Amino acid sequence: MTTKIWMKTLFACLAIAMVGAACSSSKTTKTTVNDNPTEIPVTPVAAYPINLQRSDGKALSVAAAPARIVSLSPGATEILYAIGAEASLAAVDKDADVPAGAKNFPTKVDAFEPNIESIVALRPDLVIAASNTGGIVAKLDELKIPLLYVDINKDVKTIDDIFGQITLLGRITGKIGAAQSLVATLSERRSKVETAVVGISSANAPSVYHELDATFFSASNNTFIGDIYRILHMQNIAGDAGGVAYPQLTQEAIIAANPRLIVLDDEAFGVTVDSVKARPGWSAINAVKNNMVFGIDPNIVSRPGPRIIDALEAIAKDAYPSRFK
Amino acid sequence: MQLARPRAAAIASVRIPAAVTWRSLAPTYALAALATLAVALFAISWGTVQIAPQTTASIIIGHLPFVSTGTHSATTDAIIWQVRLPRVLLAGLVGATLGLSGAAYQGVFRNPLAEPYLIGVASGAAVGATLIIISPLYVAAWIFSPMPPAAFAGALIAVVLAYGLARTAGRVGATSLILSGVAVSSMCTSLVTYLMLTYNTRTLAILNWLLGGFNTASWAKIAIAAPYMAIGSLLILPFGRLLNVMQLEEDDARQLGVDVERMKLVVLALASLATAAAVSVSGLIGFVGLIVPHAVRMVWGPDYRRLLPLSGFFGASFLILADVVARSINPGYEVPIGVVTALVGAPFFLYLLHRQNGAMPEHA
Repeated sequence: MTTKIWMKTLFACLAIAMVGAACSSSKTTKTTVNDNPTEIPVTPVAAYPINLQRSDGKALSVAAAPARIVSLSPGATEILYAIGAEASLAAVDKDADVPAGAKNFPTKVDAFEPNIESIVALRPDLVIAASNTGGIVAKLDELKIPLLYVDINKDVKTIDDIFGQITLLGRITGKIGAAQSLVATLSERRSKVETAVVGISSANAPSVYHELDATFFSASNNTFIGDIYRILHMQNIAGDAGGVAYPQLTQEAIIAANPRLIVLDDEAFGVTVDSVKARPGWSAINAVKNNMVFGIDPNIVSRPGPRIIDALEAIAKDAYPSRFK
Repeated sequence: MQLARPRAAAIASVRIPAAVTWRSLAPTYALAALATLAVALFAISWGTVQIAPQTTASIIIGHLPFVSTGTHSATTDAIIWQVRLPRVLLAGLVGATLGLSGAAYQGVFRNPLAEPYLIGVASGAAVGATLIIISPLYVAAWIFSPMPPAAFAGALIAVVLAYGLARTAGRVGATSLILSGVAVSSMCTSLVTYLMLTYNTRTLAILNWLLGGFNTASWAKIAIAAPYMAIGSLLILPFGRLLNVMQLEEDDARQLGVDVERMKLVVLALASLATAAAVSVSGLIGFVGLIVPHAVRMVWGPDYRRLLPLSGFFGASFLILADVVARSINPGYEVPIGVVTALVGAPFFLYLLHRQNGAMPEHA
C-alpha cells in the first residue's frame, strides 16, 4: 500500500512537473489569451521586485528570479520541483528525498545544523528556511544573503498556508502559471474529499489522536496536520493546546479521550500498529478495539509541500472507508 | 573541588550522637514512611481525569489477588491501574533512589556538591540510550525495549572507567575520582551531542530521553529497574555509621579502623548501580539527588544513619509531587519533569548556599 501511495505521488509530481515545464515558456513571452479560458488559465507575468514580509517581521525584496536557490526546507524543495523551478536550485537539504531529482541532487546541505561556510560557498542568491535552526537567520542577514524565512510553526498552520507557499514560490521563481495550476489541482482534490465527508456532523465526528512520537507528542489544531482533521470534521484530542503547535499529551488524557482513530506519524521510529495495540491500558481505547490504528508516511503529512493532499486523502480513506471506495 | 577544612572543625562537626539505635530511629522512619504513603495516595487519586478516591481504591484493591470489587469501566481501570499507579510508583522509586544515592555520594566524597550523576552515571546512560535510539534495534514498543538495559550498561561502563582512571597505586582519591568523572562525563556528553546531530531524524527521540520523565511509565519498566534500585538502596542503608566516620579526614578514619578504599568502592558501586537503573527508566532528572539530602540534613541533622533512609523517603515524596505538577499544571499536557525539579530545586539550592556561606565562613 505504501508503494502505491509512493507511486501515485511520483506520478502526481511528474504530471505536475510536466505542467510546470509546459507553462515555463510564458515567462519570456507575453500572456497568450486562449479561446477557451477554462482549460488553460490566464498566466500573469512575473513582476519584480517582489516585496515580502518574513516570519521574523523583516522585509525581503526579490529583485529578479533567483538562479541559485539553497533550499533548507524539504517542503519548499518539493514545491520547487512540482512547479518546475528545480533548475534554479543550487543545493537542497540532505533530508530532501522527493522527487528522485531532489534525492539524487548533487549538492546537499545540512538544514539541521546549517554550516554557514558551505552555504556561503554555494553563492546563493536566495536561501529558503522553514525554521531558525542554529541561528541561521541572523547569520545569513549578517552576510546579506537574501533569505526567505517562512516559519513552519508560526506561519504554516493550514493547508491554505501551504497553497500560499506554492503561490509565493511560483511568483519568486517566475513559475506563476505552474504554481497556479498546481494549487488548482490540489484544491480540487481537497474539494473532492470535502464533498465526500459532507453530512458528518460534529455529533458523530470521530475523535482522533495523531502520534508524532512514542512519548505522546501530538499536533494541535494550530498546525496544518490539525487542519487535515478539521477538513475531515474530526475532533483532534490534542485540541488547541493553548496555542502550542506540537504539545506532549499525558497518557491518561489520551486513554480518557478514547479516540476512535489513531494515526501514527512515528513508524519510522519503530512504533507499529501492533506495538500501539499492545501498550498497557490502551486496549480500552475505541480505536484499538475497532482496529482503527493506522500508520502514515511522516514525510507526506509533516512536510508543508504538495503531498499534504496525499496525506489528507490517505487519512480520509482510513477514517471513512465507506465514503472512499 | 574538595573543600578543605581545619581538622578540628571537621571532627567537631561530625557530632555523632552517642546512642542511636534502631529502636530510637523507628518512630522517625514510621513517620517518614507514612508521609510518603500519603503523598503517593494523593498522587494516585489526582490527575487530568477526575476519578473519585473510592473508585480509585476499589480498582486498586480489585487488582490484588483473590479480591473482587466488582467491575469498573475499562477506561477508568486502565487509567488507574496501567497508567497512574505505575507512574506514581516509578516516580517514587526513582526519587528514593536518587535521594539516597545522592546522600551516599555526598558522604563518600565529603562534598556538599556531590550528586548521583557526578562520576558519569547520567552521561554514560545517555550514550547507551542514544546508541539504541540511532540503531535499527530502536523499537519504541514497550515491553522488551532494549533501552533500559543499554542505558544501564552505559552508566556502569562510564562509572567503572572513571573509577579505573582515578585509581593510582591502589588508592582512589576523592578529588581525582571527581575529576576523572567530570572528564568521562564530558566525553560522553560530546559523543551524545555528535550522534544527536548526525542522526537528525532521531533527534527528538534522543532529546526526549535526555529530558526524562514518567509519561511512559509501565509495570514492565518497574519490573526491569526496581530490583536494582531496591538492592542498591537497601544495601547502602547499613553503611550509615561508617559514612559518619568517613566525615573525618580520611587518615583519621583509617586510624579508627575503617577500610576507606574498600568502603568507597562498595558504597559507590551500590549507589551507581541503583542510579543507573533509575536513569535507564526515567532519563535524566536533575537536582533531586543534590537537594534532597541537603534538605533532610537541615531538618534532621548530619547523622548518616538517619540521613540515608530519610533521603530515600523524602526523595520519593519530592519526585512524586514534582511529577504531579508536571502532569497537571497544564491539564492533559506534559511539562518536562526536569523543568519542575529545576524550578523548585535551583532557588532552594541557592538558598542553601546562601545559608551555608553565612553559617560556615571557611566554605566561602
